[in-house]
Amino acid sequence: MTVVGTVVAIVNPARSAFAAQSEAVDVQQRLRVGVEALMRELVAAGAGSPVGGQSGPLGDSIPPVMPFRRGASRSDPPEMFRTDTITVVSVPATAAQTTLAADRAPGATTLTLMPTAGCPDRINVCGFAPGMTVLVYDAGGAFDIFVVDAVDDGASQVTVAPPESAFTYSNGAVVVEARVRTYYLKEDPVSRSSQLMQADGGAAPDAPLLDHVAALTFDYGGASAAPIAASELADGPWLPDATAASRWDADLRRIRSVGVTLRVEAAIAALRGPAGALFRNAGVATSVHAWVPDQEIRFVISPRNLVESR
Amino acid sequence: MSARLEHERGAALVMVIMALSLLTSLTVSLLLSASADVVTAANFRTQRATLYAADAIFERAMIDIAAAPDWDALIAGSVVSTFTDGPAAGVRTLDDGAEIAVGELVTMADCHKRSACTDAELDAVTADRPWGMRNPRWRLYAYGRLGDLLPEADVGLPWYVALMIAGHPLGSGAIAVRAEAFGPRKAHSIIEVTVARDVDSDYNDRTAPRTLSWREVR
Repeated sequence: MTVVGTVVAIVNPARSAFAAQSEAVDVQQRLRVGVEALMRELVAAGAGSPVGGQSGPLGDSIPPVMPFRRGASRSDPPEMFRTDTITVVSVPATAAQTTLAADRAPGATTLTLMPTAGCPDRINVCGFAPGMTVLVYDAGGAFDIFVVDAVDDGASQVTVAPPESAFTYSNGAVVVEARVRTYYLKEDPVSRSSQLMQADGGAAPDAPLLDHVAALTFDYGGASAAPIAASELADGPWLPDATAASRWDADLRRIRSVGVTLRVEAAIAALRGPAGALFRNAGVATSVHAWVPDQEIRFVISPRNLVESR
Repeated sequence: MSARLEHERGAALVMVIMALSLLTSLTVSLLLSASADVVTAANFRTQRATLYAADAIFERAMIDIAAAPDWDALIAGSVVSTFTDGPAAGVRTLDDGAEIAVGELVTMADCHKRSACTDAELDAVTADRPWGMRNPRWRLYAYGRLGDLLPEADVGLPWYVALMIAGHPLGSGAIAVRAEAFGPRKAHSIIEVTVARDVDSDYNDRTAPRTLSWREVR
């Protein structure tokens, strides 16, 4: 009996330590995945296009970083600011970069394009394809994100899904393939767990990127890393004008850096202790030997395309 | 000693051996898990640093690019940066023994081959080269050890960096710049940047280059 008792006394804590250590490794790995995903997206925010009169980084014309959800559908209403949501826009390496060849009336779903550069012979609008997310913007700050429904090469036209906003775009507005990603925290009050979600700005359903995220917050900085208060990013002045349905705060163009705070917790409640400094969400761990505290990281990204001058 | 206890002689030894076996396997598993985590973290850190190394050679080369009066000469490859470490050929060896074939950097960027690319390969439409006949034809412009950028700095910088230039597929007076960095643990990062400059009509001179897009190539 003595031997059995001794063995159990030794093995049982070791088993707890093993479970806790494995989970701690998993927490760190999930943290790295989250950091990598957000960092890669943010560092390229605002990559622009050399075509059209608005040739330059996107930040010259539209806000490449937005503290709310924006896409071809399910966009947040104007004057919104969310601390746990960010939308990042950039133009990828793509042949689908051109300008409007004719004005686009509000609500119209057909875009008439200038022939895209570099297409093979007898092809006018290469690069565009059904399902592609495209960005249309002009120098006045109007922009829309569309999903291409169909391409009519003979007429140099693309048909897009009905947009949520209704701007008028003049001949010469830029039309480019866009990479639009919204990251946000999705909380489930029932299971008391949260996920880092990713939306692609188009028609695809949102996808979970990371499970058991205890907290996610974004904050913003301007030139010389001076913080920009949340209120400054949702109080106007508005672009393209104060009455536009999808107006945005002109101060969004002041953003030069994005601070991200990401906190990840153990997935197993038996490895989380009482709520407090170590645990955002309480668990049911009965022993401190089995505790796997939340891991939190804060990092600041200065997107290369938002730098004012090189 | 009773007969029943006599039959249980040696049971304690068996239990201790079993417990030791269990503890040993747990310990080995813990060690493997912890060491794998350390390696993963090191790879993560190195990969991040390699991206910054690629950005460093881009910033360095921009000094020469900004000063170049004729960007057509850069695109043609007839002018190279002041930052080079010898002929654009041969093999450079990193601190960890990895070898970088400088002469193959361009063909790897153009068509993912170590040998010369054919016209068809250069014009092929791919995800990273979607412009067909206007795909960039890269020319090596700057290359060398990252440490040579800061010769006075007494820190180990085990990265090799290279930068290539091409005419931008969409024209508009822009050039495409591709910076690559190679580091420890086979780390490799690539960024592609579109740079343009305008003519200042007041002074009939070129303005400072501006970056239209900065992207990490994945």
